[in-house]
Amino acid sequence: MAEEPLLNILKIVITGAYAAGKTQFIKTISEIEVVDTEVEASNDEERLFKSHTTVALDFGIITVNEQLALYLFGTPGQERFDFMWEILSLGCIGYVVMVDSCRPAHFKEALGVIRYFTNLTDVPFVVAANKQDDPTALPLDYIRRRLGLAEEIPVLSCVATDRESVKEVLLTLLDRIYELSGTP
Amino acid sequence: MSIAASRTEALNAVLDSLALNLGGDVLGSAVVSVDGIVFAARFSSAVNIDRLSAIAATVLGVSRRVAKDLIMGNTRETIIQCDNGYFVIYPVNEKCLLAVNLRKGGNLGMVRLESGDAADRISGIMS
Ligand SMILES: Nc1nc2c(ncn2[C@@H]2O[C@H](COP(=O)(O)OP(=O)(O)OP(=O)(O)O)[C@@H](O)[C@H]2O)c(=O)[nH]1
Ligand SMILES: [Mg+2]
Repeated sequence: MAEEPLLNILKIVITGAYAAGKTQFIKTISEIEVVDTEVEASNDEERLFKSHTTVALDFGIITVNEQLALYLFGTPGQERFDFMWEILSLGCIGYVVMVDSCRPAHFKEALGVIRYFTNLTDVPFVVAANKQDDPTALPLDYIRRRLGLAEEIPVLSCVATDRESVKEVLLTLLDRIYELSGTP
Repeated sequence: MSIAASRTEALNAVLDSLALNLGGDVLGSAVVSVDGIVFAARFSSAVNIDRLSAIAATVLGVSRRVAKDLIMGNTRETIIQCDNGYFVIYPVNEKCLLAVNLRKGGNLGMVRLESGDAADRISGIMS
């Protein structure tokens, strides 16, 4: 009798500051209907960008191949929800920090998220410079410089509405996870 | 007085009468937007109200998600029972919630009744 291949489940966190595109990223790639927790935004400043915001988490699944499935957990973006960052980071083996490439005023917030996560966990991460389809999107090297990221941290072009782009970001993260863990 | 200030005052009055009607059972209470921003609160200064408000919004968000996935209608109440008391959340409307912290042994039935009335008044103030 042929052996069933073992399915490996890896937990990946999708984080980043408010309105960076975390929920969109998971919705684009998930093969299950995404478990989201979006409510109406009430803060005027936050409503400028969009009407809804994540208050707890997003959850989606993507099967990479017969042996591997990724469980994707999206976080809320505002710092007041940092307790969820902590809860969601438990057991994750890598994470994506989404940055809105069109809003340099929010890079500081993104940096705050990176600091918080690097204090929580040592697992690898990549930065996804999102909304690169927008004409006002800033270039990757500029974003890297403004965030003051170390050379070895990948800053990737991302369009969260585009499946291929999202896939590319996740595969780069996986490569990095395998590379740093020393397994193929 | 600005509209926001008079609104806060009206909400505080609702929270005060909630505490009064429940005769010592209430340790604290707050009116919070569904995305976790405090509108009015009566808590001891030992409580970080901004943080607790965000947490209350998360808990209600998860409760509503459970109700939705089980196709059980609307969430009416979320009770967290702790060793030394309760934290109870009532949805007021699509925009805000009422969070109540009760002492151990507090009368949950009474709280449900009074919080329903308070929620109606809050809904009126917030609309
Ligand atoms: N042009 C463009 N817009 C995008 C892209 N990804 C997301 N958006 C838009 O950006 C806004 C924010 O997207 P969300 O997915 O809600 O962002 P989020 O990070 O989950 O936001 P919070 O949960 O509130 O922190 C929405 O209006 C999206 O439609 C993208 O790749 N390109
Ligand atoms: Mg979101």
